[in-house]
Amino acid sequence: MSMTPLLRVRDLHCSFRVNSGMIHPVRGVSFDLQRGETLALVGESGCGKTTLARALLGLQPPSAGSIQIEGNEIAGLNRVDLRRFRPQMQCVFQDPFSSLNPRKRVETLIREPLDVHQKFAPEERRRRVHLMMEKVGLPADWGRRFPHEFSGGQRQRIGIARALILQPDILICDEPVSALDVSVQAQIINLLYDLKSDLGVSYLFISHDLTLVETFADRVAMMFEGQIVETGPAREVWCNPQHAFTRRMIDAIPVPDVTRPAPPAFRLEAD
Amino acid sequence: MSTRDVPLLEIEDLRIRVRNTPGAEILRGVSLRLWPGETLAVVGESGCGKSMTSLAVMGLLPEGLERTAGTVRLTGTPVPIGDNRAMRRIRAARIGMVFQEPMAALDPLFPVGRQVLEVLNEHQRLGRRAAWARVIELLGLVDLPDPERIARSYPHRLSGGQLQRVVIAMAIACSPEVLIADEPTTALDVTVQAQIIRLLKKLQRRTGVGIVLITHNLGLVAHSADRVMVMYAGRKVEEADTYSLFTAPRHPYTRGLLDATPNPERQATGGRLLNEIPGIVPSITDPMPGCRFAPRCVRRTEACRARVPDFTVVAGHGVACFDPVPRPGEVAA
Repeated sequence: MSMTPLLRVRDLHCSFRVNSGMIHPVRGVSFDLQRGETLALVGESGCGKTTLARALLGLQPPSAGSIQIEGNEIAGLNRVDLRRFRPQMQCVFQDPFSSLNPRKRVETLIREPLDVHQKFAPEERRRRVHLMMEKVGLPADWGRRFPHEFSGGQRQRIGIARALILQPDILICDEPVSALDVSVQAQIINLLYDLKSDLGVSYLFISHDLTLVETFADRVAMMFEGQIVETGPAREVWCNPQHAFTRRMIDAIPVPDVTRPAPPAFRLEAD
Repeated sequence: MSTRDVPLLEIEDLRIRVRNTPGAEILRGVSLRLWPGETLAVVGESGCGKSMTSLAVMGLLPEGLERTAGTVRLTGTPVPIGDNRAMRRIRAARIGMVFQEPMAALDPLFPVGRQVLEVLNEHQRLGRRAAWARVIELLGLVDLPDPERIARSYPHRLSGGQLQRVVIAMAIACSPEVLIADEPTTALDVTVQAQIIRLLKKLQRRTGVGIVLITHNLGLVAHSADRVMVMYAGRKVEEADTYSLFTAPRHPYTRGLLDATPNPERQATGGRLLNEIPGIVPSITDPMPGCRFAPRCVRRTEACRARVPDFTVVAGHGVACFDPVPRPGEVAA
C-alpha cells in the first residue's frame, strides 16, 4: 500500500480550441507526489504550469492521460463523481484580492467548504473555523470582518485557512506568494512549512521562483513548453542543473549577494 | 565647474499627502541625488513611496494627492513639477520613464513604431523620413530583431520582453539625461529580466544616462545598481553604495529585508525556513511620532517610539536609526 503515491499523474495532456486553432499547453506530463512531500513545479509564464494545476483540480478536463489520488482515477470524472475527491485536494491561488468573495465575512469564507461538503454539525463547523484561524495566524475575533479589511498577507492566510479546513491530503499552491512583499512572503512560506508537519498535508507548489522553492521544496520539477524536462532533489537541481532550460534559468537569476559574481546573463561581456 | 559636481537629478525634502485626509502622508521628506552615468536603486516594499517619488518627479501625481514641500532639480535647474504645460517639455525629452506593465504603457490600437514616432514628433523637429528612420534606429538600439517588421506590429503581436524593449526605445528616443525605470522587469520572466537589465546597462554605457531603478527585488539591485536607497513607509531609511549596503546593512529594516529574501547560497538562522519581519507596514494615516519601523523592529528602544531619527551619513553610508546594526567587527554599543 505504501507503494501507491498520494498523487500519480501519467502522460497528462491538455489542449483547447482558441480562435486561431488548437493550443496544447500540457504535453504529456508524468509525476508522483508522495505523502508528506513538497514537490515544486517551476517554469516561466506560458509553460503550462497553471493549466496543469487546473486539470488536477478538475477545473479544466484533460484531453488525455491519468490522474490518480491514492490509486483512484479522477481524470474524466464528471462534476458529481469528482465532488467525492475534492476534499482531498484543495488549492491556494495567487491573487489574495480576487480569490475571496468581497461580500462574505471571513468566518463564512473559511467555513464555506465545510458547508458545501456538509461536514460536521454547525457548532463543530464554527469551532473548526476558529481553530483554523488561530493556526494560520489570524486574530480569532476578526471572523466578522470582510476581506477588504485585511492586508495582502492576511488575505493569503484566509485563503490557506479556507483550503485547509477540509483537511485535504494535497494542497496545490499556485504562486501563493508572488503577489506579496518579501517580508510577508517569508511569513507565509514559514506558515505553510509549519502547517505541513502539523497537519500532514503534502504540497504541490507551483512557482516561477527557483530560489524560493529551493529553500523549502523536497523535489523540483522543471517545466518547459508543456513538459517536465528535469526533476530532482531541490538542492541537486540548483547546484547541478542538467537540462539546458534549467541552466539558462539559473544563469539569469540574480542572487542577492554582492560578493558573488553577477549571474552570467547579467554580464555585459555576454553580448 | 564640471558636470561631475552637479547631480543629474536632485530631489530635496519631497513631501506628498492625500488631499482632505489629515495625517495621510505618503512621502515624509525624501531626498536623493543621482550622478551622471550612475544607477541608483530605490528599494522598498509596496506602499513605501518609491513609485510616488518617481511620479512626483515627472509631475504625474495621481488625482487627490498633493505635494506639500520639496524641490526637484535637473542638472542644477529647478524642475517645474507643479506646472503641467512646462512638464510636457521635460517628460521624455529630459527624463524618460519605463513602467512595470509594458502592455499598459502602449496603446493597443496603433502599431508600436507609430507610438515611438509620436514621442519624437512631440519633442523634435525631424522630417517624416528622418523621423521614421530614427524610429527604426531606436528599435534596433534596443536589440529588437527586424526593426522594420516590429515597427509595423501591433502590441498584441509582441511578447512582454519585446514590448518592454519598445517602451525603452520610447523612453530613450529623445536622449534624456535621466531614465526612471519603475519595476521594469517585475512582469517578466527571469531570463527576459536579465536581457532587459543588460540592455539598460548597455544603453547607459553608450550614452551615460543616469538610471533610477525602482524595484523590490534585492537580487536585481545587487547586480545592477551602483548605489542603493532603501525606503520604508514614506521615508528614506538607508543609503549606501551597493557593496556596503549588502555586506554591512545598518538599518534593521534593510537587514530584515536581506534576511527575508530567499538565497540558496545562505541558510536562514534561528531555526526558521526564512527569516521573516514580523507585523505589517503601518497605515499612512497612523500618526506615530517616532520611527515608522519601530513596531516591527527587533532593536527598538524608547527613543524610537518618541522621535524620528535623523538621517546621518558617515563615510558615504547614511542611515536613519538611533541604534543601527553594528558594522562587521564593530562592538555593539
